[in-house]
Parts: sequence; C-alpha cells; structure tokens
Amino acid sequence: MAAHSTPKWFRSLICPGYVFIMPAIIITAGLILYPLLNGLIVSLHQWNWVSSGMNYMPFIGARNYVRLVHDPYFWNSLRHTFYFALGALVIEFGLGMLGARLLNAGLRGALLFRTALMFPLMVSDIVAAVAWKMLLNPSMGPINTILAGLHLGKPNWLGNPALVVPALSIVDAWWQTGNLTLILLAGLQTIPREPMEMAKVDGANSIQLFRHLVWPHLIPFAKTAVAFRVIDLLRVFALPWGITGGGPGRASEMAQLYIYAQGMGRYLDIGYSTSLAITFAIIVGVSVLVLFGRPHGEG
Amino acid sequence: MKKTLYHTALYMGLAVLAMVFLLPVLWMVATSLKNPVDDTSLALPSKPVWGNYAEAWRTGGFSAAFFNTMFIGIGAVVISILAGLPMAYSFARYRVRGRGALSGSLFALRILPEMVFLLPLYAMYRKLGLFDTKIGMILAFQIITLPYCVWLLRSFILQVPVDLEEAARVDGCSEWLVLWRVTLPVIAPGVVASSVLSFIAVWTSLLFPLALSYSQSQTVSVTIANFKGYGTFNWPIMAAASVIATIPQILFFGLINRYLVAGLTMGGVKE
Repeated sequence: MAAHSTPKWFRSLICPGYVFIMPAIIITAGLILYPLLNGLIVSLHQWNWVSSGMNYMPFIGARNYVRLVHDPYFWNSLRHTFYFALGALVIEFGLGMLGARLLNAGLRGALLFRTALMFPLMVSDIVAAVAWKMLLNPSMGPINTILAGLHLGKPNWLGNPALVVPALSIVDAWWQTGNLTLILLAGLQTIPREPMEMAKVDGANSIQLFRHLVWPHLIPFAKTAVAFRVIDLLRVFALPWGITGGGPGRASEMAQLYIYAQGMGRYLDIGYSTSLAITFAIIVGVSVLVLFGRPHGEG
Repeated sequence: MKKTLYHTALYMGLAVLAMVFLLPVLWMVATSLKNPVDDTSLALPSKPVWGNYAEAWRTGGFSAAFFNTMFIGIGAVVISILAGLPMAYSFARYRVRGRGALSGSLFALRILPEMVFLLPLYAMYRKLGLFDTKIGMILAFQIITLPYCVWLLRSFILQVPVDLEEAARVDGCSEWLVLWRVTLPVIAPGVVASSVLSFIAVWTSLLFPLALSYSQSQTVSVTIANFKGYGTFNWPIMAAASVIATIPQILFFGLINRYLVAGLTMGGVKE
C-alpha cells in the first residue's frame, strides 16, 4: 500500500493532530516567538533612535542590564506597581467576597443587584481613567464636593505624592471588584445545600460553617481569581497613564509606564527599554509562580 | 421578626454596594448631557444637551476611530477563531507530542507584560511598513486574541462528550468533518462567547494602538485618551465620547452574560 512507502515521521506529521495546530503555530511563530527572541537580541545592543538613529546598533553585551540595576527610576516604578497592586487586591478581594456573599443569600432581586455590582466591568480601563480623573478633581470633582459636604476637607488626591497611588488602587477597585464578585459567586453556587443544612441543624455557627464548608469549596475559585488579578494589576498601564501620567513628578509612575516612556513613548531608547521589559516580564512571571504555582491544571 | 431585620440589613448592604459601583457611571451620563458652564459636581443637567454626543462624534477623529476599531476587532477575531479552533480541538482531543508544553506556553503569554512584545514589534513594523496600518494592528492583536481563543475554545470542547464524535467517526467522517459537523455546532455558543470576549479585548486595548498606530489605524481608546490632551478641558464632550465608546461593550456583555466567568478565568474554573 502506498501509505507504507511514506516515511513514518512524515505520516505522523500529516495526522490531523498536527495539521490542526499548523495555522495557529505559524501565527504564533511570526508574531509571538520571533518578536520575543528578537527582543532578547535587541536587549544586548545599544539601539537609541534619538541619539544615533535606527541603523546604528552595536553589540554591548549585558550593559543594558547593568544599567537597569543602577536605574533608580526603574526600581521606583516597580515599588509603585507592587504597592498599587497590593492595595487594589486587598480592597477588591474584601469587597468582592462581601458582594458575593450578599448576592448568594437568596434574596429577591439579586439579579438586579448583580448587574449593578458588575457594571464597571463593562467600562474599559481608559474610560474608567477619564471618568475618575474628573471625579477626583480636587476643586470641581464630585468626590471632593461630597467630602467637603461631610466636613472631611478636600484632599488633593492626584496632586499629593502620598495619596496618588492609594487613589489609583481605589479606582482599580471600583473598576474590577465585580470580577472577584462574579468568580467568588460562581464558587459559592457550587456548594451543595445538604451538608450546609445538616451542619446548621447540628448547631454549627456561621464562622465554623465558613471555615469548614464554604472556604474549602471557594479555594480554587479564589486562587484563580486572585492569580488573574495579580497578573493584570502588575501590568497596569491605562489607569496611571490616563489619570496622572505617572505624576506628580514620578510619584505614580508604574513599571509599564516607565518602560513605554523609555521606548516608543518618548526617548526611543529601544535597546534599553527592551531590557527593562524583559526584566519586568521575569519579575512578573516569578511573582506569579511563587504566589500560585501554575494557575491552571493541565488537562 | 428577626428574619425580616436580617433581610433588611442584607438589602441595605447590597444597596450601598450597588450605589458605589453605579454612581460614577450615572454621573458620567449626567455630565455628558450638561453645558460646559453647568455645575460639574453633583447637580443634574439643567436641560439635557444632546448635541454633546454629535460634537463628541465629530471631534478628534472619533468617528473614524470608531469604525477603525470595529474593522480591526472583527479582523482579529476572525483570524483567531479560524486558526484557534483547530488548535483548541487538537489540544482537547489528540495526544500530540509537545502538546503540554505548547498549551502551557500559550497560557504563559497571558502573564507577559505587553511591552515585551510591543517594543520588538514596533521596530519590526517600522522597518516593514506595517506601523500605523490596520492589517498590522490585526496581526499584532493575535498576541492577545489567539491564545485567549485557544484556551476558551479548548475548555468548551472538553465539555463535549467524546462519544458524539466517536459515533461520527464510526460512520466514516474524516477528522475535519467531525470538527466541522459534530463539534462545532455543539460549541457554537462557545465560539460566539470567545469571539465577543476577544473583540472586547481589542476594543478596550490601549497600549497596543498607542504603541503601533499613529493616525490611520487609531482606535477608540487612544482617541478617548487624547481628548484629555486638548486645550479646552471640556468635561461634557469627554463624558459623551466615553459613553459612546462604552455602548458597544455593554451590548456585547449582555450577549455573553452567561460566559463571563469563563471569560474572566480563561475557562479555568467551572460554574
């Protein structure tokens, strides 16, 4: 038979399992793999389009990486990023858990409230940024109008270096708490009713119920939700870029904001900014691995 | 009696939360209908100025950006589904060598900060003439939408009973036909959900168009961001533009409400 004369490796290549992945592999190779490898090479070159043009690109070994170790602005931006992420995560998880439990209490009209709680998810981050830039405006913004009405003063949210990162965390919490609420609610809804009823009959209090029945069910949901939030929080760009532009001074400059400014955003120092991006990618990857292991079970 | 009190407390909690999350949106809508000289804070508009919407639509290339984003989003989604569906099927059904590593690295892409791709792509695009073109944007967005589609579609395919496909195979269907005639119709809602979620990812993305486009392929996000740069800081027009940009998103979210959790976790947890 003809099939037997073709070599075995060739037959295994044309089996549908491989053919099916080919289109995606080609796209991945050209648009993902090639740029990534190219980036690694670029990061080992001096390539500054402003000072010496696109065509001057000498190999300088690891000197970009040595430079970033001594770049205080880069480490500053990292500190702001983690500070921002931690603040936002704490608020989002707390409010998300509260929202999920309230929505799961079996009240009439819960669906309506669910829509209200997840509404900010339907707004893009740059629209959220534009909105909150106005809302937090110290003199004309409604937030300070309310605070002044309660005799709480008019804090300069976006102009005070000590307040600006927490303010951004609060904006992110407004934008993404619904994310946590939805996933935790999905988790709560998987809990079977019978053991809960039985435990209640046996006189378990609500803290015991939560610790022994609810929480074990919620763990995989909480872990996945938090993992995705951490990934997206560390990569934050649109909120600080749209609200403060990293200011005042550099008080709210986050990692991707700084990398963007060093690269196509401002200084066109492509070699150096690429080394920053790769270093930041490793930092995010390691943080996520340390915190969560592999977030997905492999099937 | 105790039960009513408890329920009232729960409703109060929910109402407060709902207010916190809804008021900023309602404030934006109210602001979009005000005169620039109106009180910007809490008052309702004295008389709704619908003309703000027309003006926002005409200002700063907003309408062009709106259609650009539609075009780029649809293009990106079509390619991602066409290439992603067979890959997702393969990952879900065949024992392909290196499959674990491959699907694992597709997931790892979700973790990498955008700038890792955008800097080398920017240099590439400048050289190849793809900078600020719609086709360049469609290709670049594959970095986001393709892995997303593969993961989502795979989780939908895994829920289809294998028996269904086996039966078709026994009847002599080729592998392509099994995917096309048996699996695809069953996961059609999943395909719609993946498409919509990917489209929203393109629609809302800021960093990609900021890095890889300038004027010809500018998207809605960049235009909105640019409003704040214009000399006159016109709140009502900015608010109106933001509302217009959000309407398609709300419509799409309504369409795929059921699959939101799958979308947020890339199919990682089951409802």
